[in-house]
Amino acid sequence: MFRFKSFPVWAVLLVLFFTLSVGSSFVYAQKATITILWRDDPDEVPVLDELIANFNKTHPKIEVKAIIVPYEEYDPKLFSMWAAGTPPDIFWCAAESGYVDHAIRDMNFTLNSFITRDKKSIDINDFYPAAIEGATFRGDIKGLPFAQAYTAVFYNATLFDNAGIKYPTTSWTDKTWTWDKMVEIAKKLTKDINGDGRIDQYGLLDTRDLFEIAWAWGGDMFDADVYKGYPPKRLALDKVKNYNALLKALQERADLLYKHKVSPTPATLQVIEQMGPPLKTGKVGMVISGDWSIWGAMPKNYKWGIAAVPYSVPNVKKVCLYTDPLEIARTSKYINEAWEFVKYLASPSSQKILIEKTSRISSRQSLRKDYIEKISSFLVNSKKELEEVLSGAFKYCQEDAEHTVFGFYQLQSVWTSETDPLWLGKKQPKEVLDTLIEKVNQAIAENLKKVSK
Amino acid sequence: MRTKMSPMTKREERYFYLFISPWILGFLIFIAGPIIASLYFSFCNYDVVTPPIWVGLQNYKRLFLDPLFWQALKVTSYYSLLSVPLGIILSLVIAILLNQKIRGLVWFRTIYYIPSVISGVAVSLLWMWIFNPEFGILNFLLWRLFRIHGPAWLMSEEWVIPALIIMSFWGIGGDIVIYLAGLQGIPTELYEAAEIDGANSFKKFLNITIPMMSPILLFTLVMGIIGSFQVFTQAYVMTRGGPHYASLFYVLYIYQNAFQFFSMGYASALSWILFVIILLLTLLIFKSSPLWVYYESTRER
Repeated sequence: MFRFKSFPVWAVLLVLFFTLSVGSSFVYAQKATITILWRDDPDEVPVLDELIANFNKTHPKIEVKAIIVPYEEYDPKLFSMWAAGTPPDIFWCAAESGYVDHAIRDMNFTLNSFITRDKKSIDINDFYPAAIEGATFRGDIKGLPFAQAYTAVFYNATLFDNAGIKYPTTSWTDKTWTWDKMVEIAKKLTKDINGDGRIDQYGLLDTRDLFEIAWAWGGDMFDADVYKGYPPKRLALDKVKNYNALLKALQERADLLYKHKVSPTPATLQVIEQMGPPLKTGKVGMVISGDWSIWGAMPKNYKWGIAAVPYSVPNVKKVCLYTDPLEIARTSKYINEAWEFVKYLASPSSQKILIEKTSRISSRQSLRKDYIEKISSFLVNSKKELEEVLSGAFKYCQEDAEHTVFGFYQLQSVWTSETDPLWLGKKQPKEVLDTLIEKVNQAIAENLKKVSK
Repeated sequence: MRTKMSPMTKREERYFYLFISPWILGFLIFIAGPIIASLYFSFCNYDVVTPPIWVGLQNYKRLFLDPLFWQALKVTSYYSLLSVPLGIILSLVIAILLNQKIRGLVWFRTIYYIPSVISGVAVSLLWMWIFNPEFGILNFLLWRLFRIHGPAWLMSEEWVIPALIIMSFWGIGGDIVIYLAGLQGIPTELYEAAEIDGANSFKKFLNITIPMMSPILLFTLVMGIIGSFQVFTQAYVMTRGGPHYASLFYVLYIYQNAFQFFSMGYASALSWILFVIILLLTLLIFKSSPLWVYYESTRER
């Protein structure tokens, strides 16, 4: 019970409490704490930790904290933090939603003014133009590239040696390096080594998504403005050229499995993937994929190589580029501090650490030689050849549709399901493609409702 | 009628509410709140990031026109219709076998129970290997023992649900324990009396074991149906709903809409429909139970 006698004690305690709490929050306010949301990639997290530690040491007024979540929880975490009013200050397209998805929901801050202001210190022209393009939404730059990946052919050189085949070319303009030639080589690399009637070494694994093979065969699943951040209204496959290109591409891919039998079926691929990244298992001769096929340590029992992606149709070459721009939350309390850290992560010194620790390429052109130095240590190619592959990979490229097309993941999950019967050898390409178009267009219509409000 | 409470009773009542308050608060904040919110969201367009917009019955209308909703319902009912009865029969049979007086019984009971303590994800990964059409042990055995070319299991539209049903038997250990307890609660004098009357084993099973076990069967049936309508982990880890939507379980479809496509309103509508379905099924079973469930304590029915 309250007694008058004890009043002074209470008063003193109260005053003390308020002084301390206000005082401590004042001290706290001196230091801006910013959060960055990352995925639990075992290669990336140590690099991020190292960079955060370095940054915090040199920036006493800013404290960066990483929130690490499993890949599949990245988007739910990002969206729910946003809904709770406490978004991470920095995030990126680490999972399924792209920066365009974020931009359409008005989540990311436009960096144009910062980039103009700090143009000397960040040297924006050092970034590959395609990488900046891959961070641009309707003309506005929405992020600064941190991680980067490119598409090429990655091969197991030992298997080529064993079969007595010449390594594929690194030239992107070599007219003789065609899809048919690649299939021919793949046939020679496909082998039943132990003679049990089952193939245990496959010639080729083409991991490209549908929109990529549509590009390769001279078509496109989407209209050009869709890649600039305008929500698709329907697939561009009602244009005969695009339709025929994708149809041909699907036929060629299915033929790899069931006609030429040079690629693993879904069942076999599942087994191979459980052993590790397909190329590294030694079960596959050539892989068309992003350069993640050679990320991390490469097994020493094989020699490895890298080559240009062949012509599927004459005079057409377009592959996918994967840029990961770091975005700043539009509602962040510490936009300036977050920008400082984003700049730091994209700086040449940080990017060098990334190259060194993960053998990944940087979006900065000036660091290409560092990257080549790094990967030439385990590849059969000369440095000149590597230079040739990379310049082509960044010349004939367009940013990943997953990052640039609104609601991409939903559309992709539709076409992934719709093409299942094709990869399982149950249906013909035309039948699959026709229902696919109808179903994806329905999903697009649903997606449009999300932005029309 | 309320009588005036003594101070002691009053104090006890206060303590009661004080002590139970963490649970009540937890329930209101973390369970009741979200449930009510999801009812509201089911009438909205809501992508988590931008504020919800009221759209009335649009989500419910879309649902009836959505072929994937019907597919999810079909897949889930198919699974439920087969896995629940088969699971009950199998676990009852095993429970009866484990109820025999043989040596090493404790070991057998442990062995049959052990699988059900392993988590869903680990089990799913294990069964992915077992079911692999080309390298899995199941097809290997089918070929070695019966010269049968096994199906593609998880990679086949026709076989993926049967495969998941087979896999569901992995977790019947829990039911077996319940049945064992039930079997041991049946008074032996009933069997003795039946034997004197000349009943054979099958008649004893049909006229004593089944009726005496029927309340337990009711319990496992209801729980089994609710559980089977909530299958998620296996489909999420092993098949992602494929191939070609053949294992698109209802809850997986809710998850996709909510956390992958961020159509939270539509996902909420799907959840409420699921709630209504489960409620109706449970009510149906309970309404039918007087016809087939025997309670010793009720004299006349």
